[in-house]
Amino acid sequence: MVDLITRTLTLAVLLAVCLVAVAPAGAGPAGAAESSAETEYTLVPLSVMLLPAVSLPPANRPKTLAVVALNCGVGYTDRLAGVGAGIITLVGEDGRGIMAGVGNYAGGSFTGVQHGVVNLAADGVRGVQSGVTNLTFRRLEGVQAGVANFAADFKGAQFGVVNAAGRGHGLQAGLINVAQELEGVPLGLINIVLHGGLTRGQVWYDELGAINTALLHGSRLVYNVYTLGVDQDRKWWTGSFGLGMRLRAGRGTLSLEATTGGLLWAERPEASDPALVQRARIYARAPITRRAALIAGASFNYAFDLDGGVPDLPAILHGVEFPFSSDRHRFWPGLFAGLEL
Amino acid sequence: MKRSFLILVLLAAAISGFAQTQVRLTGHLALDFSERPSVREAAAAFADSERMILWGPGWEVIMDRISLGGTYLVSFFQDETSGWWLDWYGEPLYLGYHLFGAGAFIDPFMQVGLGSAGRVSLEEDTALERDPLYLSIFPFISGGLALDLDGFIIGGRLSYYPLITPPPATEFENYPLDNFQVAVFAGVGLGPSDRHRRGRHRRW
Repeated sequence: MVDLITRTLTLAVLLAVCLVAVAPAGAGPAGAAESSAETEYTLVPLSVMLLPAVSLPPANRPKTLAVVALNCGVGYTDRLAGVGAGIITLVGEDGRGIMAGVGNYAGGSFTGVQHGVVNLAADGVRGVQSGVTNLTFRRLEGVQAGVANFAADFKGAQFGVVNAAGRGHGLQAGLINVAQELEGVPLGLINIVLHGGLTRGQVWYDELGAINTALLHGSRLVYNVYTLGVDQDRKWWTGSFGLGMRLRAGRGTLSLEATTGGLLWAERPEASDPALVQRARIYARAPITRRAALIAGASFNYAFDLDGGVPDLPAILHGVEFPFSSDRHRFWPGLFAGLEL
Repeated sequence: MKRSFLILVLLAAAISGFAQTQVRLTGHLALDFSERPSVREAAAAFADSERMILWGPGWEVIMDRISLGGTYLVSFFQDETSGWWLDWYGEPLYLGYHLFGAGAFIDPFMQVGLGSAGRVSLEEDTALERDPLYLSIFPFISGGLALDLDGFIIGGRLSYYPLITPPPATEFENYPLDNFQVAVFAGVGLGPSDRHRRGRHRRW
């Protein structure tokens, strides 16, 4: 098998050499790139590298502009206008086109797409970076998709497990999203917007006789909600997580939230499974001081009892349920009022 | 060079060491259709020299019936007024399901994932503040059939894009990707095949 691959590789290299030999300067996309490039760059229509010092054609030219740069180790070109592919592809200055491989690096800006395990464009990206780790120390205009994404400044979207940005304009979707400033939508379990975002605490009393607390965290437009509540007699607890959206309305705001969570019976340890509670809330927020505001609104509530119709659940409801409510699926309207700090 | 390939071969062998794991390395040819293509239309389109055909490599690791993979396709074309352009079509990572598992002689499969497609000018026009760029992102669902001929893989697939949109908050022009794409592919499969499981000797 090794022999076969080695033979195949040898054949590919020979083919590449032949292509380099027969490719006339100025023909094809290479020629187009040459005609517009500055004269200090030597056009390389096709290069095949093992290491920067071991390349075809020899990399002893002052500056190179590659159209197709392939490598089976580490490849280098000063500029790229086309395809750079291999294991580790390095572009010393600006690049455009596509880079694909294990590691892709552009020392300048990059326009196009980088596919790799690690993608780095030091001076900004217009286009797409997709891989395990995507980095740019300047502006990203486009998309980063991977496990960990970082852009000093982005306009577009970041999709990943962890997304981090300085200033952001657009969408951050992942498990953990961090931005210094974000004008847009963060979607994740934890969204941290350091400046200009929304971080508020709430306490309210609801129709079930429960005192609830909540942490709101995210951007000014879209935020995460984490709630914890307990009834007056401490017979049951609730906890939930959800998303909210806040819109300006006069001096105050109007909020829409959807949460999912559970209701646990403190005095019924044998009921191991909580009742699942889904809530949609709409409420107004009216400032009373610079830091404090009153909140009041209505909710649509749905509880599904995993234990199969535990009698305690309807007992804690206020008696008004929607007509489509059943023994196991309880639907009821709610009201609540409280304070936001 | 030998060392690099030895590492790759050892890596592939290590992955393939699991009983039902196969690593596929394939080359793809693909073209778009705005409407669902028929076999005749697809064959005619592949033969039409005017149609843009995207080409490039793909990889897939099939573990029992579940797989992860990616494809990276490109195409160069020249515009009389604005020069050379590079189109790309990328599915950086997709999730697949193979009905009969890794190494089956007849291998129907499905794939879902997210991708991007774009067009970038290869010309450097200093008069322009920014390089011209078309960019779209899309979810996709694909279905196809592959044949595993004792480690040599051939196949085809049909992809559907329910939504094709530029990235949010950007002013990029949408890449003109049609809603359907037909692709054919061929390559090698490192790992078990039906013939291997039946005890025949394989060249790999």
